[in-house]
Amino acid sequence: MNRNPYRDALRVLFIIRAGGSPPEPSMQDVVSIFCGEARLHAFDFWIRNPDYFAAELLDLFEATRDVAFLKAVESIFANEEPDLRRLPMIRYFFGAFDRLDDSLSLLRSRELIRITGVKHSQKVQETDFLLTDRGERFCLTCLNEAPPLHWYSERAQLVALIAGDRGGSALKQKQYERASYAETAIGGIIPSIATETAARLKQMRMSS
Amino acid sequence: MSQTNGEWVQAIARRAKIDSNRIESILAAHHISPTPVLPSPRRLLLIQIAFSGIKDKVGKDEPFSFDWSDLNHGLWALLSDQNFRGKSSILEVVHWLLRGRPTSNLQDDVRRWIHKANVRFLLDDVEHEVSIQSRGELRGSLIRRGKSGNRVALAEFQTQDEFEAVMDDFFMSALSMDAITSWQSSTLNNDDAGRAVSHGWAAFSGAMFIGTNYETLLGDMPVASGLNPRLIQMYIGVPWVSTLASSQSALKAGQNALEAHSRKQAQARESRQQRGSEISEDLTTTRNALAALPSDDELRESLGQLNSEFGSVIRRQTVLEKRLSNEMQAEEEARVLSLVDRKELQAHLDSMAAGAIFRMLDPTYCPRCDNEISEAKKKLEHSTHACSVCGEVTETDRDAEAIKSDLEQRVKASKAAYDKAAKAVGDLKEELETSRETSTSLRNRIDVTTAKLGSYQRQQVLNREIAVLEGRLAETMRDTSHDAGVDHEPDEMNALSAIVAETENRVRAVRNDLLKDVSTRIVYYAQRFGMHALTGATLKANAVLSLVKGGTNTFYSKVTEGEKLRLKVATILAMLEIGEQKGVGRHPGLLMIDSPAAQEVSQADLEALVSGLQSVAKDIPHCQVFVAGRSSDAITHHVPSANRREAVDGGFLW
Repeated sequence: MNRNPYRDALRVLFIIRAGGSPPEPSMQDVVSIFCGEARLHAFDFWIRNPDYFAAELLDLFEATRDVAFLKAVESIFANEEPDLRRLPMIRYFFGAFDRLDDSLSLLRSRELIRITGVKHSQKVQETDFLLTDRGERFCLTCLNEAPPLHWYSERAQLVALIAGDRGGSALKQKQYERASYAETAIGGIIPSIATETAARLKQMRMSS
Repeated sequence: MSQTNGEWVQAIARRAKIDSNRIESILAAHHISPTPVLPSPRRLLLIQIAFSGIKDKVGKDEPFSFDWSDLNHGLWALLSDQNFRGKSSILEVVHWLLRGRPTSNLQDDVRRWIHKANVRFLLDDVEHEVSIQSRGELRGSLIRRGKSGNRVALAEFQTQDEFEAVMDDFFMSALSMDAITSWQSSTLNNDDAGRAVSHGWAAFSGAMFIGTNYETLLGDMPVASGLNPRLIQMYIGVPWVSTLASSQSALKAGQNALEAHSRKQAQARESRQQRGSEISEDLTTTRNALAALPSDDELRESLGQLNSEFGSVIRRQTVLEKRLSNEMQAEEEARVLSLVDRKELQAHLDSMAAGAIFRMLDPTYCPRCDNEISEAKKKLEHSTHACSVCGEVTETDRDAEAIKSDLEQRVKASKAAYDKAAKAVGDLKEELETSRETSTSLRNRIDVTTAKLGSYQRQQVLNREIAVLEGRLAETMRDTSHDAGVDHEPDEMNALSAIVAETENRVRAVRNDLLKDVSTRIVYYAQRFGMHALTGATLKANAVLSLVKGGTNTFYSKVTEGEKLRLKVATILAMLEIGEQKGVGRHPGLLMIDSPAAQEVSQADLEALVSGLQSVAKDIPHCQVFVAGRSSDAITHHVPSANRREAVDGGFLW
């Protein structure tokens, strides 16, 4: 599978855009701020692994009985996303920075984002990603000029919605547990849980 | 068998159209023997009458004894000037001792008084003596005295019954009498229309005694006994009579048995038909049940066919399953291939779009050092396609379009391969499903048919039931008319009828002449006894005496008691006389007549009666006649005093 740096960079850019919030106080040339590198990785995991994201949506459906979650999962499977959109990760790469570093470099070199740190007691405790005006305009151009890329924007927004207020470590913890459970059953790389999740979906659809 | 007997059997055989050997075996089976010639008659002569005992009259016992010996042929009289002086009792004692059983005429008190009694008599020339002790349990003996005076005990008896049996045996054989068998009708029940009764000495002995009961012409047995006609035989021995009697009896018994049997048969037939129709019903039901069961052969044939079909379907199914497995593997491979191709295309499209967008931006800062990129480096990149940051050659849209087109071709090809495989899998699954339905259906039919094979047992059971029912039906419907239970062969009744007819012919040939002569003499004697109005008499073989009296036809049973006595004596005398004349006389010679004067007989008539008796006694040398009656000149005139016992002046004879 050919890995394309622009596509990875755009995915990260849409994550930063969807998961960010307006700066307070407002900053010159900055549209929104995405807080936390771990959070960024957690968002990315869900986008790269639609089966895990579907499983999370099913959890939410079970908790809320909100049919919108179920519909979202149905759509994921209907579009064969677990097959077509999955970008598998090897486990020890789980949480690695290198690929994101490439993407972030690409975004930074085009002045689409800026990367800052909040300093607590002289030590950088949290990395924030600022979406620039230029970055925001680039995203809009992207949505106008390249329809194939709409999926990234929409999925990033959905992930952001699902993640809500949860912090990066909370999200990653949940993802890690689900992956570990699946891994014990299969072993090796972070496995696809598409089959089990599809079965869960079918069962829920029947019972709902 | 003598010539006469042979001729008789042949005549019967001709009449019955039955083989003579068969006739002889039927005769033997029914104990019918021919009697063409009668044995010569035996003569009985009383020589002593004696009895003694005690009259236990009120207040005193009075011993008595009576002894009258040196009796001989001729006319004898027992006389008293008053009634109830013991005349009749003397005759009854003789009758008792000769017969072996007292008649009802012997009065009970007289019977009780007598402790001892004995009678001596000559049978032809041999002296015999019957003596009894009748006080308490009866016992006694019958002895014979040889010429030299020695006594030979012929029999001793301890009971009344033994006494009777002894006397019966002795006289029947001594007088060469055949027991007379006659048919006695019974009105008691339908199954038994009557029975054969054999009359022996007790009946025959009645021919020697004329009591005071004049109901019957001959003997002292009631008319209903059917015996009276036979008693004629005691006086005039017609050959074949006993043969006729026993053959008539056998015929009658046979007819009755047949009638009873046919009645029973009709009942049996009815119940048989009833039972038969019940069984037939059961049989129909069972046969229908059996018919409803399919035949085993058909089942096995159909099962063979089903199994063969099932085998071929299963073989085809195995082939299909193998093909399906192959096609599913191919489908999975095609699916993965197609997925990879589509995923690559997706990635490429995303990347192309992302690349195109990014290329719209020129790098402003170096991502490494954050320094601004110089205009000179940007110009260089446009002319050489070398990156203004790192100097590497940048990819053009032309390459990306070629890759896209290539990927799209691959997606299309792999999709087509997947679709084809998927369709093949679908088709195979459908075919396999159909095949499985077929095999399931066949399996079911095999199971059902096999289960029906289990009905073989049921079939066996039904077959057995049918066999049993058929057997029962056959047994029930079998005509049992010729079964044992009736002793008569089909030809037997025919033969018996012929025997009766042939024998009757022979009896009639002799008897009719004899009876005609007897009838003439009856008129003669009866007239002499005072029945002057009697002009004609006809004695029939059945002992019915029809009369012409005063020009009117009448019968013995219709005349007065006095006339009956006269007729009775006249008949006996006539028979004795004719029997003697014709050489067929069978009478032993002893005749005892009780109390003629008791009836309305005039002195002159009594004299005539006694005179008649005397003349017969004279004409027939072996005759010995006792008359008991009131003292009268009519009797004393004809009976010498030596031949008389007489009680006078109200005295008793004993």
